[in-house]
Amino acid sequence: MRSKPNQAQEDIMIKDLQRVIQLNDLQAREILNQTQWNLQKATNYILDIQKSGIKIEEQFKKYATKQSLVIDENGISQFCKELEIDLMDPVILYISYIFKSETMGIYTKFDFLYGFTILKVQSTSELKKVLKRLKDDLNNNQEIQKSVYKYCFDFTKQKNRKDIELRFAQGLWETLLTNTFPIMKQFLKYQIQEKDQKHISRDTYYMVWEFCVQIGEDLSKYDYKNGAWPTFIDGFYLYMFPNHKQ
Amino acid sequence: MSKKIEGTEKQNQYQQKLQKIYNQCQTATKKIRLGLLEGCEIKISNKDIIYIFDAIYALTNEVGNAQAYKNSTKLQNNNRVEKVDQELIQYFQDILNEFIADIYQRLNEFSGEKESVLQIVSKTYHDYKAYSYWLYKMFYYLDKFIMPQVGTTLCSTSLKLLKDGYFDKCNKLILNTILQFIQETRKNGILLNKQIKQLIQLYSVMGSKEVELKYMKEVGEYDYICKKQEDAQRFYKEQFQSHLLTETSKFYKEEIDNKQKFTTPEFVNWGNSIFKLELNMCIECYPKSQQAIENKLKIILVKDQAARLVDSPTGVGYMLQYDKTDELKQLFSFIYRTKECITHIAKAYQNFFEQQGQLINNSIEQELQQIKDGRQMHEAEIYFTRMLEVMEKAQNILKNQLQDEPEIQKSYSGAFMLVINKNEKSPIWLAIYTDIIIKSDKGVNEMETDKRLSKIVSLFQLLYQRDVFFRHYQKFLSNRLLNQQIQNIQLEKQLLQKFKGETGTNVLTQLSSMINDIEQSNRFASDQQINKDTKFDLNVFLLSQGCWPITSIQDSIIKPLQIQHVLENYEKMYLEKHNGRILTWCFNMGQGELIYKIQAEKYYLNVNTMQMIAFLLFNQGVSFSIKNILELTKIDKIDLENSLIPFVCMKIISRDKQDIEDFSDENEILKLNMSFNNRAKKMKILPNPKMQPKRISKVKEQNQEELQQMEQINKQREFVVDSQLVRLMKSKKTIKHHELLENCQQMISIFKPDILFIKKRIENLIEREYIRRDEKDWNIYHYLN
Repeated sequence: MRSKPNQAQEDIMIKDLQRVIQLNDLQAREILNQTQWNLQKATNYILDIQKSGIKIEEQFKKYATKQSLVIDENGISQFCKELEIDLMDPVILYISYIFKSETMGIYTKFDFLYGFTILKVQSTSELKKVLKRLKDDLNNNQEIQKSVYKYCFDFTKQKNRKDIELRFAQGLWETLLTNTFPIMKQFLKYQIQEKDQKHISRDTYYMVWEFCVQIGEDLSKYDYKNGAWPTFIDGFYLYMFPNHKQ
Repeated sequence: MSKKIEGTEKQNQYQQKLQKIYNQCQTATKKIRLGLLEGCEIKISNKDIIYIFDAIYALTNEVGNAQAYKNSTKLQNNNRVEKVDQELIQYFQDILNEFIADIYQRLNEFSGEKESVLQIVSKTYHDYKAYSYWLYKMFYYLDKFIMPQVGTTLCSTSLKLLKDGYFDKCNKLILNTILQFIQETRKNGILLNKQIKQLIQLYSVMGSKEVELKYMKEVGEYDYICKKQEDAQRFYKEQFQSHLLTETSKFYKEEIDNKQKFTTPEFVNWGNSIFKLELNMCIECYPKSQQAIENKLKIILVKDQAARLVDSPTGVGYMLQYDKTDELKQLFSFIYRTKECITHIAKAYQNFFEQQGQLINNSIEQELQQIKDGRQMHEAEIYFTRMLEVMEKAQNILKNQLQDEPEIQKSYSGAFMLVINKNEKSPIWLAIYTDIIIKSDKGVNEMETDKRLSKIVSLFQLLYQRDVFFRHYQKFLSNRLLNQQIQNIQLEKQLLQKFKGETGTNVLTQLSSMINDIEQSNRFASDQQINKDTKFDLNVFLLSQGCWPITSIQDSIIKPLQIQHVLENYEKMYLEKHNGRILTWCFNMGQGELIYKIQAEKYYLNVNTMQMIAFLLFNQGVSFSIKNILELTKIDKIDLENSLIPFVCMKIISRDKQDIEDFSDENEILKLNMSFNNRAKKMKILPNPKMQPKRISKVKEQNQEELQQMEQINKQREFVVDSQLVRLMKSKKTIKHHELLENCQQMISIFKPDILFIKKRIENLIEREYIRRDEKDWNIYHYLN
């Protein structure tokens, strides 16, 4: 066993892997992680996926654009239709998470190959069968919820920016959090008032999760004075309790 | 004892000896009791005692030896030997018990009256101790050899017997008697009877299991000395002190209920007298309870009443309002007994001065203008003069009446900080006020100067937005430094040093280099003696770029011939000395005096350099079009307006279009007023806001400038906070959120960042990846290298 490579070495290995087949950083990292950063094993793994994935590739072509490079929004809505889910269904975010898809609104061929293999399904109809399990996971397993939630930040983020637009963040909060954490309904109302904030930083976005888990409905637990809450969430607290301002 | 003697025979011998001792004792004790009854000195001959003493010695010794012998041979028969010892002990006890029964009997006869109870108990207690003491003397050897085997001493036994046979039975009675006397004392306000001390003495020894009885010849008193203080103390606390305390609090709570109508000073006086009386009682009668009583009283009289006393209509607010300083002082020392209650006074003090300050804040807007020393007072001056008056009053009271108590010191700065920072004009006003003070300082002695400076500093200390203050201060400082009449470098330095001391950090480099510049310029001038060979005095200030509040430098202005030569000369000399430096002239900042000759009269015009340049043009001709002037001088149009309109107003120059204010028509002709005549020969024609045309754009510009400045200040503040945060993170590597906040707030002295501001900066630093949150505890930050 080799010792764990450093950041630079990792980047090189990811680049190497990306030369074998077109896959994104997230996927490359995940695969390398699973093969203990052994490049040979990782390559083999990818080739295996590719070999056994002829049927999946057919599925991909079904939705892909004419140039058959990627699946765009039209393809995705077709995909959702066949899965009989709404485009706004949180489970599609979970599926994207499993696919390790990098950009919102686009699935690459490898996304399909990788994701279907991980889910051990060959076609959309088979995927539909495991959909219920996925939904259960998303609704009941907080660890998965958290991973999906965090993943969605990068998923939504534009490459050249460090933050995401408030309206996208709101969309994510609404889809991912309001069902589990009713306080988020109030939270979203507060943001209609908040006009200065146009963007949401990664820290704030992550801390909204912590806020849901740790404070949730019981705002009396909120330590406005000493807690390290981002000012955006402080703003929500003051919106709820205007008298608490110093 | 070498020969073995038959047991029973021996026993008989002992018995006989014992009997003899009994008899002797009987006679002796009778004598003692008789003496006690008469209340005089106990007269008992040594012989009597010595006899018993010896007899017991002989007996115990003999028995003891026999015992030791037996112990060494065989372990039997010793119960018979012990019997002798026991009989002696029993006898000792019997004698005492008899006495106890007697005194108890006597007490019962009188139990109704507290006076007699007091008398009897203290007398009999004394008697008993005396009696026990003499008996102890007689039975001394018993104590030496036998009592240790039983595990006690004669004295302890004596005490125990008294407790069982007497004290336990009449404990209640004695206690009530004591309490009654104390109650009476309290009602009358005078300590009536010190004799209760004797009774209380009972309580302080009764709990002890081991005592010694001592006779103090000097005072003729006998006393039990407790060996284990804890037992005695516990007993005292449980049996006496607790009752005393309950009574005390019950009594005074009622008293206080009756005194609710008292004014604060009345109550304080009453309270003080209570403390005095109670202390007296403690010292005289129950010193052991002094601390407990005092604590109790502090709670009842001070702690429970402090808030009411301070806030009552005759409380601190009233005293401050009407300068009732003595009453305040008394109230303070009364409440100071319970230190934590000082917060009440501190709060009231803070409230009062906040209100006073707020009054000034509110009234200053509507204030009629005031005249002082023949000039109009600026509102800043009025404001701070008033504020300083109130502050001085507060300070005096703090010092003289409130002992400079740290808690109230905090209230002092808290109150004035709040008030001064509530007035958003404070930073600029303080800059103006400082300017006025410094300008009026000429010819004042050093002491006075120092006093004035420290006043300014005391205001500065309270200011939050010091960066805004300095921004304004810089402008005034610039004006002062560039005006030779009011230039006072020593004073400026002194004041700057004080500001530096307050802010701690070296944020005032700009200001100090301004002063430095002036000093350098003066030195350079005196080194070169530059002004010797010119027609007029040239005084040049060399100002470092970036340190002075100069917004624009107009370098293209065409210098009139009269000046040009001198300026070039200066430039040459300077550059010779400091090679490679760049010099540009700021004409709008210089000043000079022009001699204007017209109609055979000489006028001295005080103008700035820009005006000078424009006006000198009229040496070349009597009239110019505005366009012409602009071209010939290359002065900015707005500056030209500012420069020449004062001349128009003074009627030195006449213009075609009187009805327009500004120079919007560039073809307009300006002409010298050839018939100019004025009685004043010296005139100030410096640009003056009143003589400037109203410019709509200018108002806008000013607003914009202000906005820009605020933005700039805000940017600067962000830098300050950022650098402070990063510095902290760098040194600590890992830090808790609130710690970071507090430290950051503490370190920044140039303004007062609020928590929100700092938090936003922290978020910004997280985003810029200077720091990150801990994955598990999000209240912790880590520094990212």
